Amino acid sequence: MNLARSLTLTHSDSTLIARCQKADIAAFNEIVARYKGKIFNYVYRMTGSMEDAEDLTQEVFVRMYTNIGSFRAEASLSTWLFRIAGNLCVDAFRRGKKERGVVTSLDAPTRGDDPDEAHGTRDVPDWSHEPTALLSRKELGAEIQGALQKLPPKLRSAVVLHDIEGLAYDEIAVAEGIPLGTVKSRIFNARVALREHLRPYLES
Amino acid sequence: MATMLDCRRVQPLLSEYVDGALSEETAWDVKMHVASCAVCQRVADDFAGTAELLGGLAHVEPSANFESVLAARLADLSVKPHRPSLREQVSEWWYARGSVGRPALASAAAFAFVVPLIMVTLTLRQGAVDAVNGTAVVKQSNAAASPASDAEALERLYDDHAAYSSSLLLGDSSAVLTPADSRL
Repeated sequence: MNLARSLTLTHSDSTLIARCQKADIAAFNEIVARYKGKIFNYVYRMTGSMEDAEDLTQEVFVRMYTNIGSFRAEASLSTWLFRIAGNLCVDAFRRGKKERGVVTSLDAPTRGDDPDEAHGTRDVPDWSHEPTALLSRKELGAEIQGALQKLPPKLRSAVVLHDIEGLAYDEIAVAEGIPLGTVKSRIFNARVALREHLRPYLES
Repeated sequence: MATMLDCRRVQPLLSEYVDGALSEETAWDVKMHVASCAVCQRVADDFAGTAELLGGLAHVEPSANFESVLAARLADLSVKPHRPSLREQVSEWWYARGSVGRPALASAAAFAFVVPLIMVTLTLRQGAVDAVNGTAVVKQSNAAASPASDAEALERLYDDHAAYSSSLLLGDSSAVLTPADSRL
């Protein structure tokens, strides 16, 4: 059983895609198992919402399933999925339903579904007296996610793909459909902004 | 003044520098500057720090019933895998590695297209020349000018980077800036 499982896990993406294109549901499920974590994590860092990340990640795999016939073997499945996910995030932001953290009222109730967010409050942090060493990982995570939410989506996507998902510059260029120079400038500008937002944690 | 220019040129490269994405030569130039400039050293450290903070974020996972919800969603939508169209099948064959006959077909198609095109072009051009009584002037493009030297290429790289951050010298918000530098 274990041997069979390990053999299954060694299937290459191209093999799985070829099987998936022949309506092999087991291959589709294996692709989902392989990439759902990475795509979900990316979408969560883009939207800041577990609920929206779940919904949009589901949609990524629906789109993959319905469009698998047009996938070209030369491309990377990973970058293709990130591209679908990025486009869905942009669509969601345009609809104005998924973006949070930029114009949210401080008086509005929190959703309470954020694993990094302190429960129930949306206080403006007073970093000047905050002993950052005492911040829990959860609280620090919430501050970093808050800083990400302040970035324009294009900058956020580039820096999340690079610093969190580990994509190289050229992979991001393919996933985003932008020139390599644009990738570099987006990551640079994202870090300039993050440097300001996260200054207390960089100085500690 | 020289330090200011150096900072303006180096800072746009610091993000790539901390990622190890610069060429060896450019990385060395940046390294030499950073070693002697506290402001740029601080910016480089901050960039590396932001990358470290993001990389240290907890990895979140979808719900335990993600697959079952997805299966239900596909079933509800009666989604079927997209069957490749004839165009897509031809495209797949065309781009498949080692496709037999592709070079020959490409050559034949190119020949069949290019030869009539050349004939038509020559005919039209002859007509145009006749019309102006042989005074037509053919301008030559200088797009294929001699390649720039490496130094010029590096200079252009710096300028390209400076273009999107020309108004942004990062030292002015750093605690390490001296009063003399604050005008930057």
